[in-house]
Amino acid sequence: MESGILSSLILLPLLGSLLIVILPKAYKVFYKWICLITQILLLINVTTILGLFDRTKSEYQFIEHSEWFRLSLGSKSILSIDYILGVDGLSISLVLLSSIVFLVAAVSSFKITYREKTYFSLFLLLTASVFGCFLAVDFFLFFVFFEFMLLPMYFLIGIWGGENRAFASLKFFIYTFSGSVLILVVMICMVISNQDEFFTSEYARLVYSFDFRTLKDSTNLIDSSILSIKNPVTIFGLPARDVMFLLLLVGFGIKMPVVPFHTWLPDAHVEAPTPISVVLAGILLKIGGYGILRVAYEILPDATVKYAVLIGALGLVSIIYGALNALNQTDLKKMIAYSSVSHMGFVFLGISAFNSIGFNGAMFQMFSHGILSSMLFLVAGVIYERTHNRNIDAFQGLAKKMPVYTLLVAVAFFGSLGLPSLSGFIGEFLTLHGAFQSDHLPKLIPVLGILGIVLSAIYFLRTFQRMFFGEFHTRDEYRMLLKDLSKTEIFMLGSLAVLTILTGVWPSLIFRYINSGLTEILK
Amino acid sequence: MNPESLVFFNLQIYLLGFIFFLSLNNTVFVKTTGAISLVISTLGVIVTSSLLVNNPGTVILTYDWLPVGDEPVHFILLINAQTRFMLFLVQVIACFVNLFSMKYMSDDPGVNRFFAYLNLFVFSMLGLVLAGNLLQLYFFWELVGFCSYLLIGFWYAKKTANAAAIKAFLVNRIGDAFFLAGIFLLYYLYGTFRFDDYAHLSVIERNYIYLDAGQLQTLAVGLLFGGVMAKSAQLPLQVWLPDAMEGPTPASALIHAATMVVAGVFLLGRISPLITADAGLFISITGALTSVIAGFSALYQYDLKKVLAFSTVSQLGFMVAGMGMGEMASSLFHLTTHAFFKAGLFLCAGAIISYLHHEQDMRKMGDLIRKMPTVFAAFLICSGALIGLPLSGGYLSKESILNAAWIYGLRSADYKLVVPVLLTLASFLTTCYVVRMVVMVFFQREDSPVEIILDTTKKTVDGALKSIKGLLTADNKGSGEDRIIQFIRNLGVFDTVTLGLAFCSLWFFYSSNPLHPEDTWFFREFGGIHEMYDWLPWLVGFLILSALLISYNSTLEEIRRYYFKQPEGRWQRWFSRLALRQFYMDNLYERLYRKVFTGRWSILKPVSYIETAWIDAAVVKLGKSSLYLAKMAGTLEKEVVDASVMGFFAGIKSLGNKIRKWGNGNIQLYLTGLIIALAAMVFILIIL
Repeated sequence: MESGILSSLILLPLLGSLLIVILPKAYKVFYKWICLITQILLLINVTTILGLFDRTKSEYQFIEHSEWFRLSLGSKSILSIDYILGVDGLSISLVLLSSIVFLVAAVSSFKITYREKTYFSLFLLLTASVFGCFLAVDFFLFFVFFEFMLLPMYFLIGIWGGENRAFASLKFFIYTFSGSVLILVVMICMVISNQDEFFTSEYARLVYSFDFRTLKDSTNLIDSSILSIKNPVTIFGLPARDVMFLLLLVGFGIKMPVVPFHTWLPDAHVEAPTPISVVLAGILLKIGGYGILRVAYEILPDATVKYAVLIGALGLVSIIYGALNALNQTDLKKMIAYSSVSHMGFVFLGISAFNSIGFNGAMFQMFSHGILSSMLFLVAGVIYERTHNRNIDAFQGLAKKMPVYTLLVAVAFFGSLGLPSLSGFIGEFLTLHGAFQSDHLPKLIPVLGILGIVLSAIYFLRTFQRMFFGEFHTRDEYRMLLKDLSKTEIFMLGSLAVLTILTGVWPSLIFRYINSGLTEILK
Repeated sequence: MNPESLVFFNLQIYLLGFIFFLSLNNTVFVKTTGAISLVISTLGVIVTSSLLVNNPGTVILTYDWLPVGDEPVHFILLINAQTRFMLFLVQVIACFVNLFSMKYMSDDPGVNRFFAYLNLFVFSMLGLVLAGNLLQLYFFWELVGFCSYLLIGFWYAKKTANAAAIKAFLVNRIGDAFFLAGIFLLYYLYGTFRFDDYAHLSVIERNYIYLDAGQLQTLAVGLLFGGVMAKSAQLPLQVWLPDAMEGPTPASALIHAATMVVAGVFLLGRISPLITADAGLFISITGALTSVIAGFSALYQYDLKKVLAFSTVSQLGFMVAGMGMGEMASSLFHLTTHAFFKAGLFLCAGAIISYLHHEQDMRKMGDLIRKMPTVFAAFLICSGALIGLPLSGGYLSKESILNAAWIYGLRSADYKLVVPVLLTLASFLTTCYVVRMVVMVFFQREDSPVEIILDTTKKTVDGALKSIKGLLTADNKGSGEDRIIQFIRNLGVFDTVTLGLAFCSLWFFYSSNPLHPEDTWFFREFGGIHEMYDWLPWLVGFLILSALLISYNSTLEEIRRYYFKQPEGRWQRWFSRLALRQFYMDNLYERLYRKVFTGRWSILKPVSYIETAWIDAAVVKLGKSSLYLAKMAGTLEKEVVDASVMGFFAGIKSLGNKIRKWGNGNIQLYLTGLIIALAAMVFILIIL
């Protein structure tokens, strides 16, 4: 079924971006509306996809396949790079998440008043590349979108960020770029060790394909190649497949981020403007988790299982270490950034379990963290936009002055600390549960992981108490500035809060889409 | 109506009430929240009573919830005997508390918030009671903890209330961490979360490290008991409950006395088929120890609500010990009677505190027997039930637990005797502190401190707020008449509620025989009662009488010392301070918390050091070193590669220059050169 609906997810924002670029500055009031309308159209398309998605199937759906280019490598082989889009159980929840988070971020971007043209065109460019990343079935296409994401992100942080934006954006860029290099290495190794049997026989030449479906199939492995299972090649004493896996782990681990590759995150988050923080925490971090599942788990399952303990331990370290660092912060945004590290640790813990419970939990945790961290950064943005101060100690007793804000902050904070009936609980519970029932992990890892929920309760409650309870007290110049939420803010935070509650009470809203896809990976 | 629609109706009205009241903020309807909430809880009681009367047996309702893995987790509502009585109990107490709060909270600006939280709590508690599997129970277990957090911190501007709320939540979180580990381990052993499966499924034989399946099961129950320790305030996690008294008194009555804190006992009842002998011993010893230690603490408190709080802890110890001994019936029975008389006591305390303008120090009370005769009557009946005097419900339930404990202790190994001895000691202590409390609060004193309090508050409180004493002393003639009528009508709420709860703590509510618990509903439903020791009532009666005498005298002595500011004896002072501060357990935890998270030896310091000095510094160094490398490359480029190329050029050029000098037109020189070159060639050819 070639409907083109997936392409529309990439083309629409590209067109919007183009429209903004060619529209003269005299019409600059329309820029944000173009952006918003594009995002709404995207959400409509995504819901259509959700409606048509066949939940029982585990393979790609809505496949769009067209030839991109063929590169002849001498007379013996051809490099075949195709434009293939598809969506399966693994990506569909993240596509949905992206379109929700981008919509909210677009609404939040209405406050941008500096160089709107560049901002909104870059924002739409970012949208296109994120969707492209989740939808690509071709490794090369995936990599192109994955790399391309950095460009708008770099400028969005570098131009509209806070005081230290230049350093932060550079750090972000270099960090993630060096991760990409590792992925590139792996991509090349993977491609040259797999042949596309069908086309190979058709062209009578060796065809190297970037198609994930081809790479996944171990029968396509070329016997003498570097990744061959039959004739293992060793690099520095390690089997080549293991080395590939470790490179991927670092590459995507930087994106995720997992301790010790996480230090770009606090800087980038603190300096980025609110909508960009929202996108960064809500979606970009998920691409790390998605990439590991898509590339490492599907293509190198044997090497991955070997390192289950390593993945689990990295997750555990992230959970505990991120939480301890969050406890240490006085900057609200930094605290939230470290809490992100801690929560993404649960994703690692879940995927290290190698059972259905853990995988589902990890996917759910990604979705839930996308919603909750978006909320958290919007919450921090509300305070920062009013007072230009993010220090937790600068505020006290806000509950009296801003009751609606307090309510929504409570949803975000308690959701993040894993209160049942909000989505964070389901993710944390299932990842820990999966890790505990797993045959690949020592029981100590999930048991220590439980400590994470105690620590997260400490830092969230402490912040909540300091900022919102007690008598209202703050600097005099802030008193007039601290007004309760505007209608737009209530819309953004409120809709995310509703999603959190909805998925927390009725988690099968998400699970019914992802379950079959994840069971497939397990095999 | 079928049970399904009944329980759903029950759950829904409270949830809708919560949402509705929360949205009422700042509207004219705020004043009506209490009335609407009362309607909701009355409806709830009526609906549940139909469930109790019709007795549909065990009903299990299953819905899809978490379609994960091979064994999807269902949302299960389990309605059996244990569910039904608890559903009824929670809602009846909630109804009483609701009525009481209508007056107690009427002047508070956040009254709608209060009723919203109350409804959310009842909803979550019903969810907990109905939960058919462990995951679901944990779900609502945390939610009731959350409601407790909200209600303890209800007056959020108050610093102490905030601290207490956070403490309650964190201590419960620690307990929940154990609980969670226990859930995982049980699933590991049984492959299911469902309660109804635990009764008949056998353990999947697994060994882990050095433990066999039986020991693992003991461990799992022990871990679950960790959650119970926090929620039901057992040693050593009981420290949050006394502080939780910062919340509004009706909330304390409902949550921290009657319903939420017994959730742990309820859980133990649910998993009772799993409790192994070793786990049972551990549980019952913990319960018995808790009841004694809390009894000592209660004996030395001055704050009326704190005495009641410690008494709650002590009674919870009884119930937990009962569960540990496998006496589900008597434990649940005591849970029920305790819910009524303790809620009654708390609401009496609320009435007293409201009457005394938020004075909670018992030493400053006294003489209330004349001022609040109805409340005194209710208080006395509830206290009687707490002590376990005959004709009260408390007598029946406590006696059955003690009896079971003595059977448990005498029938088997001798170290089990610890449990009955401790429990008997605890019941002795109960009498002591109850007598002390009643004497201090109600009995006549010469200089009636109540007058002093009322006088001082009259001076401090603004004229608009009329002192209750003014209302009291106003005579019935003339202008004061309608005020008196108003006063009586207002006070009527407190009186009805406390008296109602006091009646519920009498024996006829539970059994037709006031002296023997045999034919109570609980023993018919859950079994139990093997043998009654005839000497036990005599022993307990003797203890009660002696405690009455000792405590009456010592309390008078204590009051006398308080007024004349005489110090106590040295060891007495030492022990009272120890008991007052919960044997420094609370202090220890707070210091531990501070040590770990703040101060010089905090673990956060090395963490931040690692973060900035190692990881981040390494990244920055990496960046810097790449810059340095680039610089090196730049130098190399300039100094070596470029320089060599340029040098080569320069060399050629200078060579050219040199050669050019020769080409100056001197033919002889050219010829000489030619000849020399020729000669050299010939010479070379010859040599070669």
